[in-house]
Amino acid sequence: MDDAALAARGDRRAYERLYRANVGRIFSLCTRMCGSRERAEELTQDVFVRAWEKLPQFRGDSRFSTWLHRLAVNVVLNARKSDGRHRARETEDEDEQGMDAFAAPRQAPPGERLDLEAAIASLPPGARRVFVLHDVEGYKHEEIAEQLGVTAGGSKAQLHRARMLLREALTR
Amino acid sequence: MIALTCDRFEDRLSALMEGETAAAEREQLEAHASACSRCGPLLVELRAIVREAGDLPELLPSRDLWEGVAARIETPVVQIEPRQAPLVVRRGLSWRTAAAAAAVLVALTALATWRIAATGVDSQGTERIAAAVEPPVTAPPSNPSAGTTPPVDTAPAPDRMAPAPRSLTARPRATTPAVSAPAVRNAAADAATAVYDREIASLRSMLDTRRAELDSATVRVLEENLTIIDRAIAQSRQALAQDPNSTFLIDHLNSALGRKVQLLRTVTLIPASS
Amino acid sequence: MTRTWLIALLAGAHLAAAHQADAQRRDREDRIARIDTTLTLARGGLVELEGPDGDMIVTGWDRDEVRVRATNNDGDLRLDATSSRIQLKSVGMGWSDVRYEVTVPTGTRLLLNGRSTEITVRGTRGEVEAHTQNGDIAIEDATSVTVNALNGDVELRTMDRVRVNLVAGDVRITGGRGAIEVVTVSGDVEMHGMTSRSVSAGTSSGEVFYEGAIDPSGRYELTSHSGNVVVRLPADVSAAVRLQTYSGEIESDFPIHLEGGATMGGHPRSFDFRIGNGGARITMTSFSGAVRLQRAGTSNRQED
Repeated sequence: MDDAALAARGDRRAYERLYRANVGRIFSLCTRMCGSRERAEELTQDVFVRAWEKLPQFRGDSRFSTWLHRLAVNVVLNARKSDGRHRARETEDEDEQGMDAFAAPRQAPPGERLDLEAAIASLPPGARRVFVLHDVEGYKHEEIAEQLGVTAGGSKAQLHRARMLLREALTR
Repeated sequence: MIALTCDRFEDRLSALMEGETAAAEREQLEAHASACSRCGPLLVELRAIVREAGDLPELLPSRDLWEGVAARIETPVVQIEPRQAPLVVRRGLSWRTAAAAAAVLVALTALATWRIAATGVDSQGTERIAAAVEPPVTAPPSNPSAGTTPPVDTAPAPDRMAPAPRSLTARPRATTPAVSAPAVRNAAADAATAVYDREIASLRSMLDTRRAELDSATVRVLEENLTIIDRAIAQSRQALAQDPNSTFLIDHLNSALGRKVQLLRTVTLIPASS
Repeated sequence: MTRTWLIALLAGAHLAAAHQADAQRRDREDRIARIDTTLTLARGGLVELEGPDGDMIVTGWDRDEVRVRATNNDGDLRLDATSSRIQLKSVGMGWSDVRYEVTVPTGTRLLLNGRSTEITVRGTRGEVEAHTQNGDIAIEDATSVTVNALNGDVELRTMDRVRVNLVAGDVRITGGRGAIEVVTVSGDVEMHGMTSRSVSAGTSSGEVFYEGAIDPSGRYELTSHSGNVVVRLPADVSAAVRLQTYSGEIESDFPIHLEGGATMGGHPRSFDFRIGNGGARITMTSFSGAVRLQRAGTSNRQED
């Protein structure tokens, strides 16, 4: 019986093994999607707690890591709702619809090249999420559109914008 | 063939990179890029970004997060129904059960406050005040990023509460009475205080039981606000220790404690997040 | 005689049939569930809305009908109805984001349960009870309003009774007529245009502001721990006032005539005095913030 099946039956040691096998990938996803390592540590814990509760619903028709990854995307997307829901909304809502030039990504100190991770973190949230999901994690636009509640066309536009902004940040 | 302009190239760049252009158009765009000193580097750089993004290494957290996960999955969550039942039914039931329990606790708290208030004045009309003469304790801020699960409420238990005589007459009240009578213990007031302490402890343990159901942002808001209240309670008690006969301070401490109960009560009413 | 309906809209079942070839890609199904229907509801009935995250918008109209328009982008919707009670819930295993737009007969009672939910209620002229974790709540033109929330701003306009229990977030009440009870920890409480007879507003680190008529038999208790407490009273008010602060300042536009041997010096500062015939009872308390009693019509001083 594999670890996922054992964990679904309440075997915590099996779940810890699953945790160890997947934490890097999940943490990477969270960090890059939300732009902050500290917040990502909180979110990573949330993901594994949530996954434990939902394990009985894991049907085994995909790999556990795929299922976990999708759940992680959900957790990150919903976390931003809790964080920013009622305060002055981040312009991410506009940036998912409008395409006007947003604050330029952080420039590297003169003489230094910004590395890609830092450039990604400084992207506006909507563009960052699409970029991470598509170019880093390999999701398709249709899947991204469904998860983010946008159209596939919108996702493509955001991706292009993200890449252009990154290029600007990286080639200074 | 019409020469491709750079503007047109940029418009079609996204489609090109997504592999959505027909073969003929793709050739055209690639040809433009290889001959254009502006569009060429643009295409090369964007492709490099995509490649590098796909090759990004796995990041690791600064510390082992397993302890935090383990603590939360070990917290028993009261199951009203088996997991297979529709979530909505489960959530509805647990909300109502918690609300009923919380209502009872609030009623008991109100009773405790009333009893404390009623015991304040003795037959001579002198206010008898039993002040909690403990050294003020400052609550250390909770550290949510620690690997273990810290108690959400960091104030030391129990929160002793001095009784509040309710004599709202219009007579002037001296700010610093010359009376230097020692604090007198009032048995009835102590009993009522014990009730209050028990209710706060009950609510707190109900909160601990629910921690696994609450997401980290919620827990953070709760901890921040419990810290604010606990600071207010600590400051009030500190002031009261300097000035044990101040009705104002006694009332004020009461309301801070009441606010704490209210906060804990709100937590029990939060619907489960799963 | 009751009539019970159960409408469960399964998400995209028809779409799955159409895409037999893509049956393996179950994750690509259109998962949006929708309801758009009108039901009858007797006056004074109850409408319950429950949803995890999303928006709830409820308005009142003059018909004996309830119009329900709802979407759920990841899961099902369930609508139960009798002649006196309508219940709309979301059912789903994912992270549903719902949008409920409901129009109800005026006088309908509302019970709203959300998690990260923005709630807007307008013109229902009935009782409203809202429980959420996060999200702003705006209610206008209701009778009795009860709000329990963790994190969000609450804006209330024109209602009778109010009970708000909030942890983080500001509360703003305009045109309150009945008994007001507001408890918050770190938010401000602002009350304008009030005609209530009983007001109790407390916050720990926020500010409290009250402006409105003062009923000669009313009781008004406004408290903060570290924030300022400011009250703006009509010039002809009649009230017994108590101002208290431990380490903050006291300011008053009204002359303070102390009775007996009270002094104004030292800390804590606490004193009682009368304005006019001293009918109403007003108690303003802050531990370390300022306590300011203003007279309406004098300089429109802005609080900090």
